[in-house]
Amino acid sequence: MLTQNFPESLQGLDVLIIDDDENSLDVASIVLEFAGANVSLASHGKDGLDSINSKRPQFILCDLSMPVMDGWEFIRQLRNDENHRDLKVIALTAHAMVGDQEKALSAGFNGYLTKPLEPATFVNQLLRVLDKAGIQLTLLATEK
Amino acid sequence: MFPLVRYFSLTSLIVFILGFILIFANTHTNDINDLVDLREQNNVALTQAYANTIINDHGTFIASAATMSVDEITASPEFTHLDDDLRQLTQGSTIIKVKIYAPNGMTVYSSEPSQIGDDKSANPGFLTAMDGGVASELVYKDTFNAFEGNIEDRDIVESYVSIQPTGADEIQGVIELYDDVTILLNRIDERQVVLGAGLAALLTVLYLVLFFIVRYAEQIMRKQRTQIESNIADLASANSQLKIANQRAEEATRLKSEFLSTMSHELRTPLNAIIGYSGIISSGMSGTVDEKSMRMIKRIQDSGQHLLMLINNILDISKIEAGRLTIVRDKTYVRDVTDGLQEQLQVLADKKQIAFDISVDDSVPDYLMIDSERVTQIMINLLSNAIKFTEEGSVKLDMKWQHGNLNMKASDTGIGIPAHSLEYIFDEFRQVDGSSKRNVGGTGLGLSIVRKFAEAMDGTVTVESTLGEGTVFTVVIPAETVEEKVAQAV
Repeated sequence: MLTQNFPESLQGLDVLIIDDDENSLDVASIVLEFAGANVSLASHGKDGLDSINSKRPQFILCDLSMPVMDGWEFIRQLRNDENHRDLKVIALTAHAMVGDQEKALSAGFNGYLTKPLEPATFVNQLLRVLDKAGIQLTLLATEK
Repeated sequence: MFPLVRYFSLTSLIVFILGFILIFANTHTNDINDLVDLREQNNVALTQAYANTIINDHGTFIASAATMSVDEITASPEFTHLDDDLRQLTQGSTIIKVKIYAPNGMTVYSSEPSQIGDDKSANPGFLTAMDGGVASELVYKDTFNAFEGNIEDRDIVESYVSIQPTGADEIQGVIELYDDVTILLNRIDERQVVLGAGLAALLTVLYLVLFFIVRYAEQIMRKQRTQIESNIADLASANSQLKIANQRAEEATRLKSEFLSTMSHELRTPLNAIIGYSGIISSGMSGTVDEKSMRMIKRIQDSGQHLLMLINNILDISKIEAGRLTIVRDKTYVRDVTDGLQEQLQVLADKKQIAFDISVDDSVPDYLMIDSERVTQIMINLLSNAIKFTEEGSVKLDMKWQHGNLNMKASDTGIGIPAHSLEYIFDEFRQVDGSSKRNVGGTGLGLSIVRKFAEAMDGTVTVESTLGEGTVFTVVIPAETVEEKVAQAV
């Protein structure tokens, strides 16, 4: 039953998750690791930028509301960074109000997922968002 | 304070005074002129009357005296005779002095003897009289030598009149009469004073009447202006109060939407842990758990999801109430919507071991301009309801394209809805079975949100149900194809 939920695994992909909520980080990392990803964690945007510089992931899951540096500032700085501006970033947020998705996409995020994440369906949702954003996992894997 | 009254009182006062002076002076001048004219006519008539006596009795003397010396004249008995006659003639009349001139201008007689012999040939009055005319003049004398001797403070009309007895061809001389009009003049002056006082009183009364009329009018005007000003002030204050109220309402709306945004975030964060961890355990990601624990974990997971749905519904209805519901129609791949629905609802159907199927007719375009979030939410609400109320059988979604409308039919083989309840199932906070029999939770907001979303997208939602057999909800949303949208843009 479980393997049915993850028809395409994230085997071998490096994923960075940025979130200030420990539970969110924990749940997301368990689910992604279960799908085969190598997960790095950051507790805010600045932490995330440091992490990228030491180890570049294939894609990033990023919360929007965070202390120190929020998701909006993170995406702004990332898109201005010559070395990493092409990194794929999916917003993962509890900001599920009308217009938030449009706002996130126009700010430079490649996709948008809302919390709370549902472990049984999250990987499929993620794959669909990545697919919709024109991101192919096979290409991401070869990038590594 | 009363500008109108001030302007009026000043201008009208000037006009009244000028008018008074004009009328007063004009009347006086006319009276004096009339008096002189009257006395002149009188003097002419007197002269006419005297002329026969003077010329018949003294014509010879007057004619001869023109060539005599002053002493010869005064010494002659004819002179004394003439003097006596004249005094007698003027006795009792207002004539107080008489002079007679010979045609050559010589003064041959005067009641004041020192004037005899004076040459008047160049005197304008004498010349006028010699030409057949009459010349009169009003003069004032402080002392005057009259028949009666010296008199004082006299107004006198002096008239030069020609002496021409009836039947005579030539003018035989000129007589100058001094007519005392002091009494008449005094009478005129007295009348003038009375007239002036009357006129002044009349004008004063008129002035006062006008003054009070103007003052009263101005008071009314001021009252009205004050009223208007206070009305304007009232309006302005009402206006500013409205503005403030409006600002407060706007501020309240802004605060409310900020609150909603915060609530949404804050409530979802702990739910993330509840739904996340229970989901991880129930899906076996953290290894196997015994059956009893699994059952409890699944209860926690279901409750978490239920709570999430309630929160979403409450937030949605609040957004609708706050007037913040905006429809964003974007190019949507219809498959994405159905895939998302399949993914979220299959889980629920699987739990109840009922069939769940979505079928999309070939007529439905691949891409449509719709608000995918809203359409998804409508269908999740309808279909999760259907699954909730169906114990066996199936729940289906059939999607068709009909005349520019996306037609979505959600049907189930559930308990159905009683006919009498169909009319209010779309109302807020209403559940079909309000009794204690209910074994499924809900806020009663789900269908209300469905209808409001559908209406916001210019669509409709209808329901048909047979008790014990099932229910069919039909949502019809008008939508443009991407080609139509492109054609419009061009």
